[in-house]
Amino acid sequence: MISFYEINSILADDRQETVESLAVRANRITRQYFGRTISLYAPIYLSNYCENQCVYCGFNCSREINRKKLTQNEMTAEMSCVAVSGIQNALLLTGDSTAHTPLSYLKVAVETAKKYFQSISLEVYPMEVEEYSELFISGVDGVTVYQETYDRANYLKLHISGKKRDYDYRYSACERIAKSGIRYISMGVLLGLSDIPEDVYELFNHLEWMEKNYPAVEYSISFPRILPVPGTHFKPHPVSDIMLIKLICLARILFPRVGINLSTRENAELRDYAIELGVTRISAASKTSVGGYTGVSKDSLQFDVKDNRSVGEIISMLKAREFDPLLTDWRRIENGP
Amino acid sequence: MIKDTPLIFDGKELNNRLFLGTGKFKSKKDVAACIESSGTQVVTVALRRIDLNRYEDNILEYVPKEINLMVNTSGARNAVEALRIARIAKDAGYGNWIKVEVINDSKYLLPDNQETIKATELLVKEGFIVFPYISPDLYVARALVKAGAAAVMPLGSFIGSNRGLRAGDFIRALIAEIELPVIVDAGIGVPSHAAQAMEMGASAVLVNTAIATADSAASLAKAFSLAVEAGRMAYLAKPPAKLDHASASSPLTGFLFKDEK
Amino acid sequence: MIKVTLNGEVKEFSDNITIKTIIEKYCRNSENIVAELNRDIIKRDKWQDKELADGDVLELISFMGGG
Repeated sequence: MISFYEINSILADDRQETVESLAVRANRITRQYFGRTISLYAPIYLSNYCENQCVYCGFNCSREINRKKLTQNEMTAEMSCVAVSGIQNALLLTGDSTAHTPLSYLKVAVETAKKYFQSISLEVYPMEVEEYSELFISGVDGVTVYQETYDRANYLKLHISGKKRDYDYRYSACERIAKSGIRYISMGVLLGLSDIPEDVYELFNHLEWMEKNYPAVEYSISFPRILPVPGTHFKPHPVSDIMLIKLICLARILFPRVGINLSTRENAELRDYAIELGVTRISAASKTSVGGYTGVSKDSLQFDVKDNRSVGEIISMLKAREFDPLLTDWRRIENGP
Repeated sequence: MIKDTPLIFDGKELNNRLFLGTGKFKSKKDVAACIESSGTQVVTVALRRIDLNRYEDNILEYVPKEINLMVNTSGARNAVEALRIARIAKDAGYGNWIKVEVINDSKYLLPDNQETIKATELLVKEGFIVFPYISPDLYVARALVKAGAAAVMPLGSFIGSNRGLRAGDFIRALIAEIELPVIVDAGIGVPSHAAQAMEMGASAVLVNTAIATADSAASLAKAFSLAVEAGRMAYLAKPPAKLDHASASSPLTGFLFKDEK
Repeated sequence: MIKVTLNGEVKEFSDNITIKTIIEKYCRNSENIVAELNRDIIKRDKWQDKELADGDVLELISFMGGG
């Protein structure tokens, strides 16, 4: 694995030749291993009830926002709305509240989603192997769990209260997910929370360890840039576009087969270039509030969406650039134990 | 200067990473000469029925006592036969290090990976130090790690073919993913093949046919030994990776520097 | 007389012949030889006691050059 020293050198060097040189390699490797395919997915926020106080998050429990969780009927409406646009890969999200959104609620969501989507992923709170297994058997293909930051001291400062404060429980969630049989794991750090070279170095080590010990799982990686939360004191370190592009290239070069996600946090122009450099999965026409697609609630976004293009517009853009938009490469089968 | 650490099996320290096979030699005296010229510390032998009609020198008379013997289970067609050979070797007083070679293919002499896994499991249970010879296959190598093998020995190319590292990429994957020493065995034809295997990160190489059938076996054995040393030192010194060159006009990332122009 | 398969060939031997006698007859040097009688290894110190029976299969094995 690349050394911390090398990562630090690369990330400190913003010269155009350096960046372009990384990009050329990343582009070649992406073409070689992924061809021109770009997978599309949509996030669906089921609930913003949360018991954690994470200073950087719009849903943190100390914020006075409209708390909402979807009923099954409301889920059905949201999901069918997303499915109509053509999306077949759904990412279901909740806050961390086993009181409001326990395992049984998640299973209902998965059962509902199965009627509309070929592939279902979850981004929820970390849980036990047995719980992940139940979700796997009920039809979950992937789980997203970002460590947020690998800087332990800073992690405690950012997660003031709630179960999420347990750094190790979150860190070891990836291993529990792999043990449960789930096929895809998405890992990442929130850029802007801590020193980037250190966080990225730890993320790469974590991913490398997972790849070595759980080789049957497919991995993807993500570098969301965190923004200030309105009405709070939270101010992240600024992260330049150049930094983000370099991270995407570096991840692609070091991990040729790992997927790279880029959400609608990023603007259209940057996303359109990033897909040449290693990004292989993008969300389209995202709504980041609970019930955002059907308009059940329009406030309390987890983050501001910068790329507001519809699924149709994204597909046209991809085709115009000679990419192969992939609504799904998966057909539902029964997940066995 | 970088110092290497010795390769250790069963408490025995090996400072020479060339292992020598003793089959196909014109004369057993050549075997002794090659052991001396190369400085090898590990030599493989096989077990066979004695020829009752002729007296033949025992190969062990030509192998110095301090050499580590690795007994090859060649002739075994399945795991049970491999175990039988291993027990015979142990009874003769030399049977702790066993090279599991199980072959059911007389055309290409490819090892039977599945029987090799089974044999390894059986032999490890009985306390043997097991060196399984396989076609390079990551699933098989992982199973061998689990079975308790001391190393994995992927072939470089078909036995006796002298074609070098045809299985190169597959061997690289084993070196990258498997925690055990990877010893390239079979198909190494010239010293540069051996150097290449060591540069890739192999822990050792086993050479037989190329040396045994050479005109000057002892000289070639020495050449192989030097090549193994060179390759190993190169691997430890980590030569720089080849670099790509960017094109002048930055078509991929020019958008990031728009304001500077 | 008994019939014993020795290294794959059927041979006739006198009754009660021991492994030790056979080895002395066929092998100049008994060092590094292993005797396997009916698939069981017979230890060296038992060679002079072990008598063969009709139909036994005896393998005398030793080290050869090999890869």
